Amino acid sequence: MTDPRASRWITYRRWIHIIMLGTVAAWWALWDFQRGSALIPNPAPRLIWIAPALDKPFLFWVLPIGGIAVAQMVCYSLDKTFLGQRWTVSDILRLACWRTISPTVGLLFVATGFEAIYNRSLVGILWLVAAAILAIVGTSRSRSAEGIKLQLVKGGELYKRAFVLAKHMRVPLKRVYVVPAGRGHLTNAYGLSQSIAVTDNYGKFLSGPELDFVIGHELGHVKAQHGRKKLLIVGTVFAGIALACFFLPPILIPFRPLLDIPVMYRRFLLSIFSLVVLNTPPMRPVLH
Amino acid sequence: MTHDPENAIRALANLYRITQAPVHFDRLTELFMTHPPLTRRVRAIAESGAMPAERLSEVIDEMEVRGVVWE
Repeated sequence: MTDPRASRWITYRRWIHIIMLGTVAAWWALWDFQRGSALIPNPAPRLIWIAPALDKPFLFWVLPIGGIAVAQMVCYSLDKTFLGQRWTVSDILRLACWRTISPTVGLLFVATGFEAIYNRSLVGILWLVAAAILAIVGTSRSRSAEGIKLQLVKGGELYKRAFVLAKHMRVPLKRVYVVPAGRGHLTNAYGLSQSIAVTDNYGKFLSGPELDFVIGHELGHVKAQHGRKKLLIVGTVFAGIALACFFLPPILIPFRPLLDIPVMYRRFLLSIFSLVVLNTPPMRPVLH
Repeated sequence: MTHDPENAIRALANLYRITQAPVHFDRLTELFMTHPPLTRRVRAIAESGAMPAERLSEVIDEMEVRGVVWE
């Protein structure tokens, strides 16, 4: 039976995630506007209890990162209550840490990179590269903290069904993995580059033909190269904005924080584009 | 892909039941969710698989018996 409390929590959790990202974006834009315009007062002089040299590190780095880390810890603790996950204290700390690094810290690196590029310093490119590395490492480590550990399989029902369907769909499948459901009670499937992964509890919940649907869906991701395309889109958006920042005419400099918006809200903007311009719902993967 | 819309709907509904994912949400929330709601997906699968409306309604009833609350 579906538990309405759990379903509501999943929706609220999504909103909390958006609000957290929105707060970082607003903080970043405020920072940016404050430097470009006299309209917004500088909050730093009011912080008399902080040494002037520490204003920026505190306001730009410590405050948003600390705030988001605490919010993440609260969310993972509530997951235990509403979703029945069995996270230990150590799990919660690890999850909160890596979920804060990616995307929050990564986005602050991007902000610093753009700031340097606005100021015609090519050091900004190094910040953007560091942000990309942080995003990859952070995502991989947070998946590991969630218990997503891929185990290669070379036989069994899942393996056979996957390769039969791959042949039928003409997908160049090379590997099949299972993922232990673990303390997070994971039930999910993933389409990777030329491989798929399914959590080890699927057999318990789905019959053979139902499992084919899940495998087929993931093979669809492999065939359409969704992972590669997503990376390409993100890379193009970031590179485009970096170039725009570098070549921005001086008269438009006060408006440069507007360029922050597509970076922070690219998913939201893509959804709007999909709904308004293409008149189709944003069809994202059925599973992951 | 599998040319079997009924089992696709059953699989999806089962997964929603297990993961407690929301079956339906408003348009604004949908913009921020990683996946569309179950109701929209079921409709899309039934349409693409040319599933008759009566059969779809039977499958939905069957899933309700198995614990999926549609709304």
